[in-house]
Amino acid sequence: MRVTTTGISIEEVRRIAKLANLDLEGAEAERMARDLGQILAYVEQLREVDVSDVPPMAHVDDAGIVPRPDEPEESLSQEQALREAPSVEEGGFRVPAYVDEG
Amino acid sequence: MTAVRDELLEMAVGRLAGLVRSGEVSAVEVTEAALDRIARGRDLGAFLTVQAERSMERARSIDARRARGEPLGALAGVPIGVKDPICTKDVPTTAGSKILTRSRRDPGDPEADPERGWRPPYDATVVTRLLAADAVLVGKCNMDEFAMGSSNENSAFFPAKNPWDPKRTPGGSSGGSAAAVAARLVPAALGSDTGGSIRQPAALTGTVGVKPTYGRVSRYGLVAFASSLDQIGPIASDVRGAARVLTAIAGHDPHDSTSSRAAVPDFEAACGKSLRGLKVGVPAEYFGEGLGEGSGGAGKGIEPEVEASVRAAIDALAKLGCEVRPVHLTTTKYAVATYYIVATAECSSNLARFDGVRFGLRASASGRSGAKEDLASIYAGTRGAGFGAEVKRRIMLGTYVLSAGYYDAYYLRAQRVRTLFRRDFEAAFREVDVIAAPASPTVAFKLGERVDDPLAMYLADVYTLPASLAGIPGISVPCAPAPATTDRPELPIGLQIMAPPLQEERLFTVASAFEETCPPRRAPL
Repeated sequence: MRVTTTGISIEEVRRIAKLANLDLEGAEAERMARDLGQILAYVEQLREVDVSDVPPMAHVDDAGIVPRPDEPEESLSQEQALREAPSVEEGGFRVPAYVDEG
Repeated sequence: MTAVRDELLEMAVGRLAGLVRSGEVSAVEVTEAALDRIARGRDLGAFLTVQAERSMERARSIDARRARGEPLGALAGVPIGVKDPICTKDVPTTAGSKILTRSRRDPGDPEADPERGWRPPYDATVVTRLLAADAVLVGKCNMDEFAMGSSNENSAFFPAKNPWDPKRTPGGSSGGSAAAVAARLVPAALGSDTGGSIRQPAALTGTVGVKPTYGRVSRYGLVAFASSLDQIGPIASDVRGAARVLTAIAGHDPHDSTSSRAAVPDFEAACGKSLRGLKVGVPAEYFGEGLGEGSGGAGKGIEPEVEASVRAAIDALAKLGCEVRPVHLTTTKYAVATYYIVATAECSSNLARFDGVRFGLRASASGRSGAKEDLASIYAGTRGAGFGAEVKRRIMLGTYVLSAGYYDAYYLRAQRVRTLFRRDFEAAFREVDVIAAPASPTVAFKLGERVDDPLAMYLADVYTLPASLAGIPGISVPCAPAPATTDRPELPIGLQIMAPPLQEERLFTVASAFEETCPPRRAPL
């Protein structure tokens, strides 16, 4: 058994949840602290691998990525783009005011 | 009548398409048969939604075109299931998540209903290509939410079940696609594979599953999980059927800059060739104890029945003329750790788009009643209410490994180890043409068995993750099943073959030859 539970505190979980825009209920946050601690302890094993002089691999490039020409193409109509939105107003996505003008 | 109809779905994909093309069977008959069988197999939970009317309409138009003397495509009238993260124009697409469903209109509505799924304004490229080949897309297949899981139990709606033993998982995340094909509700389906999500369920259900080379198939219209790993591929009842579906969907797409410009061969033509002289590598690291070690006793390496069956399959390859030799893939034991950093980092970024503004669910922050409703609370509340436990766990882990102070230690290091996976395979493929290994360390496990132990669930993917990290193609083809015991019926086992980038033809050559020695079997319905 490689797994030991390294500490990840509830405060740390709350900090990460805020970065991730994720609302966690009380019991959820506690469970998350336990699970993340266990998983992070498991991935610690990567520290034993010698990666000095090994370049990072961000993606596989067997394809040889070539972007398509930057030419205008037909796009979605406003109606299509808005069809699935939970709230729409005056041809746009409706959200609460996020600039406090008070 | 039912028996005749069922026969249509039990035949190989190519033969079925041939009968429709020649007019011996109509697309309408085949579609009716599939819809009937899907209804009878409803308890398997293989489909989230079924498009009965749309399918029948399409079948009629295919028959009409034949009647006018027009030639039909390679998948003429073949009913195909499409995994639900794949966009289908105007047809509900949920990716197995509540967050891609519209909010309840009244409290009496069921809380999570795939019929209220997001309706994409466009088809994924793979869908366009299947339609161009005259396939009939009958429904959207169940899956783990956003393809995150190995048992289908992370579906926001209901788990899919393994038709060989409904108390067990069909695997995941393409569990619905695999269950549907195993029970021959459809002869073929599309899945997606990020870390094994096609090959593992194919192994656990006795179907043929192919993860193509990264970039072989366009990802345009695939709801993204981990963009450097995601790849769409077929699950089918026979090897040639899988080859035919892959031939139809593969190839460059201007809408996906990571899609390969390499020419697409007729993969079916690679089937049936001799294996004489082909060098097959067997990685010692994929056998024996130790690999699955690490959590709660659920990962104790390979099960003896699995090892026996896969070794017997490799012996069969030797009898077919292959030269079998050992190879070493020394980085294998770091696959789970590497993958769960790389994939979660990418998912935390990709899933940022689900915020309750442009599509799907919108909710306010929970536990903040009375608080002013602002944009931040809509984001956090929608995501808190709309994502399931595993998706939240991965978003949190990914956010953590990308956050300031941890990036180098976790994410960058994992990317460096990923390079070693690539190098491992490059070295092995200098010595051998293909690699043969198990696709899963275990047979299908029981539903509920691992849901409380995320790490044990992750270890289910240990044999499929390396090929995903390296971007190389792999296939799982059924080998001899594990015999029935007092505790359970006979259960399928998968032989995994891996090949160098863009060498899928080798997979089909080996798998089709092996299939001759171990013909496809249909699960009971």
